[in-house]
Amino acid sequence: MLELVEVSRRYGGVVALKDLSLSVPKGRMVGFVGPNGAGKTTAMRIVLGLQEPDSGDVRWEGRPLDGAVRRRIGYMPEERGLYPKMRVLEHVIYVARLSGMDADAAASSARLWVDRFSLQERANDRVETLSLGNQQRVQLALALAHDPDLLVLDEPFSGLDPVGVDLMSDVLKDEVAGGAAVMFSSHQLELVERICDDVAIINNGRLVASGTVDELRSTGGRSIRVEGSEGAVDEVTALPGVTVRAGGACWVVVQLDGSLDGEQVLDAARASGTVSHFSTERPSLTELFREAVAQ
Amino acid sequence: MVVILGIVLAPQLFGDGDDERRLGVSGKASRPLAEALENLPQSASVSVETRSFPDEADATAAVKSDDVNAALIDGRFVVESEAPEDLVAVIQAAGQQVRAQELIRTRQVPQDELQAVLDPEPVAVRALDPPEPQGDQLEAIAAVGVLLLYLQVITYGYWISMGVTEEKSSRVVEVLLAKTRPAPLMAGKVIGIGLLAIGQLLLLSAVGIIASVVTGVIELPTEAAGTIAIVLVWFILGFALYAMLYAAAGALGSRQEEVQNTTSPMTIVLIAAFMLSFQVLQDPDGTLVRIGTFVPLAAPLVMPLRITMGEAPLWEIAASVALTLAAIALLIPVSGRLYSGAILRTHTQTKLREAWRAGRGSH
Repeated sequence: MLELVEVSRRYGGVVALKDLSLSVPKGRMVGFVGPNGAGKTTAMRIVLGLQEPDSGDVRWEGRPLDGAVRRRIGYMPEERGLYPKMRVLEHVIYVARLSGMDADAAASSARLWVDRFSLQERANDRVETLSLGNQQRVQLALALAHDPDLLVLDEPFSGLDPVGVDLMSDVLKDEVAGGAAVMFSSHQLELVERICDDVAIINNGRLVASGTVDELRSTGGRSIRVEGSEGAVDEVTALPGVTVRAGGACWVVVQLDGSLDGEQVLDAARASGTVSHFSTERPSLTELFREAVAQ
Repeated sequence: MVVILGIVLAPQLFGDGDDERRLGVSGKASRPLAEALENLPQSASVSVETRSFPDEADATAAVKSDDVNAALIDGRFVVESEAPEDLVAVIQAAGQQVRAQELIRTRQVPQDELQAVLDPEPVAVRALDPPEPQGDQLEAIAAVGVLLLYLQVITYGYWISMGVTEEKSSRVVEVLLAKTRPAPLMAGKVIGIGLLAIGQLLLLSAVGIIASVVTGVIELPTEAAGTIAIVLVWFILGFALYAMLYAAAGALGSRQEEVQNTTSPMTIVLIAAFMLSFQVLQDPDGTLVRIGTFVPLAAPLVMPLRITMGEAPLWEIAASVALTLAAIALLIPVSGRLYSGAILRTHTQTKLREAWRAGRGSH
């Protein structure tokens, strides 16, 4: 398990991270979300030892991360980077060797990942001749080729076409199924909701929400959609303790505070008109994110 | 390598050996002078080959078409534009000889006495401080060594900077730094390219020296081994010193176009030190040169010559080596810190002070 314990970092007067604590257990996929500038990249760079925290610890399996462990992390930086003149397969082998693999293992593993990302026909081409999407596949192959126990991926889905997104999702799911701990940042919240076990939302360097996707969605206030006559809709809109999220002439989506429940809303609506549709909805991750960030 | 071989062999293949002048001769009045010129002693600075022309017009035409370098026409000396000085000198000497012989003949001096006067005994020379027999050659070796150090640092130092900046501008450096620390990354670049630079130097020198010795262009004195060792030691010191600076300078740039900017201070110092090495040849014990001895960035270019010329006292050599080694030892953490502080700032050129601050504790 990877743990960040009260990690703080400032740049001059700017707080990049403030007492950030989160954990990434083995065999789980953790989505790391937050608005631009929230501190996601700084947190990941601190895990990799690329930046030093001002205070706080980063631990792997209960022990502080040292160089030997860090070398084994599969890392995909936010800024993609490859040697433009190197050949694809050669590049994957080179980084696998840097990660501590011996020559034979690196060669066979690199071959495997180049095939998995459908790059076999480009294996001996120079990186600079590949499209950006394909370069990104090479980048992910670099992160995976040495069979890491921990993957730290900064925006691995940005810039991929839908086929690439599916391929990347499948690869990450397989890694998690194989027991790896995976942490990735993303702005594609539907995707995070779909494939992640846990989510951590940060804003201004602080953790504002975390837990399993289900937990998060059930803690947020439920929203209720009512469709029917104008009288019913108006009545619901006017109830104390509701916040209107969206609405039209004959429908409304409201969020309830703790003072009333769905049945009371339904009763009030039916007392003032006819109701043709009534449903309760759990908030999506996108809604949770907006709420968490707005605070 | 082909270039080196070419430089060594070209004079062998195309050179005309000693200086030979062709002189056209025409008219009776020129005859005695031409004969005297034909019989110049071996020690003369030029040898003259005469060629007879039936009349003045032919001789003039030959001068114009460069068939001959000059012509004697009825005792007058005709050249195309400017008289070759060496030729004028021997013609004057020959003229004196002709007039002296004429005078002596009219006074009826016996032939053997005459010959004794005309062939002077060689001047006996006693030198108070004779030059070392191979001194010039050793100095030449040291000077070539300094030139090569200068060229290799300019070329390979710049290459180091470009390599470091390329890793920054392509952003691959973040992948590398996740696997290793900045210090080994920088050391790897300096040592790798340094070995390449020294390897190339050794290979080219070996080819040049072997070709020169085999073809007899130079004779290599046995003392040369010592000089080459001195050059090599200073080459390694100098290259290490500059290479680390170039690596740090490379890290300060974020794009290849900025390398010119960030490396220019070192390049200026290097050129100044190289100029100082010319000063050594002029005045090996001058104030500037002695200051250079104790400035680590200048010493590697100054000391090989001073030592070879025998102008550096032992204590100065020892102090110079010690200071240069100390500078290298100091630069390892300093350059490492600048490199660490700047290497992840991939968007803009990093200022020296920012890099220094950011590099705190992270190399």
